[in-house]
Amino acid sequence: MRWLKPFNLEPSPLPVPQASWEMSPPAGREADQRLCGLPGALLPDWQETFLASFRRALRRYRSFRHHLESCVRCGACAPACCFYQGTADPLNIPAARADLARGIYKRFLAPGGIHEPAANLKWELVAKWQVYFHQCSLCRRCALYCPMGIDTSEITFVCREILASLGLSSQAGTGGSAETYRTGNHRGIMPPSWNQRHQGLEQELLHETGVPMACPVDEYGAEVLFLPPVEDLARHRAAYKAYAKLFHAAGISWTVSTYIDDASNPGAWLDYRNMRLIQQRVLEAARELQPRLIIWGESGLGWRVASCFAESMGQDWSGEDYLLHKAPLNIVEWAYRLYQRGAFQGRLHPEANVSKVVTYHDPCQAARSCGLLAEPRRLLNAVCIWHEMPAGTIGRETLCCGGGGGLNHLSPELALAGFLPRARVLAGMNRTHGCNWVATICDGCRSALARGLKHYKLGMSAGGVIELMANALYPNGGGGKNGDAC
Amino acid sequence: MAPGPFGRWLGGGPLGGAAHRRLGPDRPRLENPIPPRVSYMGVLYLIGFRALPYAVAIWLGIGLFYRLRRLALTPVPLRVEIDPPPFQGRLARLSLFSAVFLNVVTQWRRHPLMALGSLNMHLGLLLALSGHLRFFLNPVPEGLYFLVPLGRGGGYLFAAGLALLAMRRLGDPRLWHLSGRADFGMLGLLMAIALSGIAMVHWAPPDPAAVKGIALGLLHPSSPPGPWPGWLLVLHLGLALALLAIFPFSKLMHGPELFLNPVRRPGPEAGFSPHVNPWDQDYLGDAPSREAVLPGEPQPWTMEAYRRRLKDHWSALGARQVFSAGERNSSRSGREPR
Repeated sequence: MRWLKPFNLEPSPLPVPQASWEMSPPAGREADQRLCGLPGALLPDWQETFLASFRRALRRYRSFRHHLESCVRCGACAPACCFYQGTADPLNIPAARADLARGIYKRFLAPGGIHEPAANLKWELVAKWQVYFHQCSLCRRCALYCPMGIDTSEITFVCREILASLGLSSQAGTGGSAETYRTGNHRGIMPPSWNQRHQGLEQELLHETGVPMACPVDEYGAEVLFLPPVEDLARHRAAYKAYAKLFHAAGISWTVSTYIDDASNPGAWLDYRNMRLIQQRVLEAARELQPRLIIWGESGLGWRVASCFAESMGQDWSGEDYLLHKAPLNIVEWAYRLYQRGAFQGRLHPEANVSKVVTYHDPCQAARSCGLLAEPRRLLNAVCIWHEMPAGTIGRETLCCGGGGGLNHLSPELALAGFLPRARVLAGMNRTHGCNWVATICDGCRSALARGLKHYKLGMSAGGVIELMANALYPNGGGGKNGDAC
Repeated sequence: MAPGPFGRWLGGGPLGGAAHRRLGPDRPRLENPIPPRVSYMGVLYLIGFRALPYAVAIWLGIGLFYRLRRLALTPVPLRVEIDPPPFQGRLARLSLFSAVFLNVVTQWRRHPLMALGSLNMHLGLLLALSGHLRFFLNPVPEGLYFLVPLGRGGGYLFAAGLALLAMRRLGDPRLWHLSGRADFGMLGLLMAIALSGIAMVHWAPPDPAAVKGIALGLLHPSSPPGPWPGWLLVLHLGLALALLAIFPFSKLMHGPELFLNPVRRPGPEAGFSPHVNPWDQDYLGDAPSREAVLPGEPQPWTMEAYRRRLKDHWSALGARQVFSAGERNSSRSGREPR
């Protein structure tokens, strides 16, 4: 009956409120911003540009206009936000974050108000924007908890776009996008390096399983054009090798294109134009390589862009004759379809995963925005022993890993703070069920989880659903090892 | 007509303003005074209880139309639906239904105090307004008498819900950071309307003829002014008019705008058309800005470079002649490569 006592006389259960501005990711580099089509540095007449971009965003996004106009500041988003829970910074309450934009709207642009001159825009305010709109992982949990359905990730996305038009961005978005334009992926792995890495993978796979498995690069006419989760290649090779094992087990030839070898879309951390340009590269590469299927690896925001946004970004695949399935496919969805049709009948050995007591972490984008809920769970049922986390922290209400929205590499403290609510749940799972392994279907989640599990000393490892499946398919190869050994 | 509060200082009185001034205060009263055609009191009555409500209604209509039209005409460029409604098919098309249903059901478990307060408040407002219906009907149909106690209870519910919401806003330290003048001001305004209404039920009931006169006068604008209704009703009515006047430019727009929220819209599987981004054509033929790359900086990995790499790769594999995708298509179809 706690809710009968509205006056909270006890001390706040949260940590002491503090400013979290030091945790924000660094600002974008000048060369990267120019390559992304943005001004290299803050424009001299930024006030006018700021208001013009704001007006343009209001004309373009109904969600932005709606969310600015109809917040009642009820505070329902405060307990929903992982970053507010983790940092205890009151400006990280989603409504307060959005109020940074709402204040500008009311003072300078709203109808029925007396508009102040643009010179009244102070740099302090833009500095607050730069800090707090880069402390959101675009996970959309607040949108689920808001009675009005206000999606602060939309406000964050649009405000990052406005900031970018002034020449202010985070290194995650601009650096990631610029690296994608330079090398095809946001980690900056050069095209020749892919051949070497894939040759190394082939040797490792042969060593592990005793079966020669091809990991081709830029192969014309392969059946599958695979968008590899490049985080996995860099930090979590076991999960990456699992994709090769899965394709081998399915008997399907696959290839990776060095023109776009990244399942995630760093443009979505920056603005619409760069998101569209990076998504466009997939179709351009597919036209060169003529695959039958285009399959996204385990990824979060990249999969959301491909499956939800691509249709409105001029990506009509219906005219692509070479494609068998004229829509993006997720590897988890695809693997589940194969499994459902009996492609792996009698070949799955769940005992290979017996040392792992698994729990499943729903990635925000895949679960909340793309509805990828049942497939990974049914695959897990087939390949391992696993326990569901408590209700309210799974499915559409899943908690953030802390690493979304471009926060993963360059602001590790912030990612750890955003991971805190999930870490509490995982600690409970470890205590009650003895879980020692967290499976997920997003490469960003995987690396954020691995870092967080190590930092909070939870005694668990992070890995992938496809990784567990590959272990069960090739039980002699690497099944006993913990996932994040690399 | 009763003298009313303005009678003394605006020249009203038993004779009416014009007659009083013409005759002067010291003149003896006529036995059978000629009533003025329009008294000052009457003019004030007509302004306050006829013209002002009409003006506010027109203002409200224009404001609502303007705001909602502008919101509805703003495009929804991307698919941002979340939380698909628990019903598919025809029922899900009623976005009104799904929005309200989702709010009540989902918020109940997550924020019970807020759900209780806002449910009480909104439901109470609805009931209280239905209780006001009897003022506009003459005679009141007997079948509608049940609305009188309902409206009364609705008033209490309304006030109780507002009190809960105010206590929640004051009691939760997280909400102190969010709350501003607009939030407390709106709670205060609604509370004042509720309390003045409740006071007219219990403490100082106004002349029923005066209330009826105002309400029916709104429906029949050419009818003569009615009796003075008392200060409390003027306060109640004035606050309600103020609320309606600021409605289109306040946070109260969360109600009508909820049904235009693209995040709460049922997805394409519910029968809505797929998203079309009207301004995506601004980016047709867009490419990374190569001219922005200064000498010495790494060059972008363009399609031309990629095609060169593919040619080299396939030549090394033993292909005699390597076409790029565009050349391949043009050799097949005879068209220019894209």
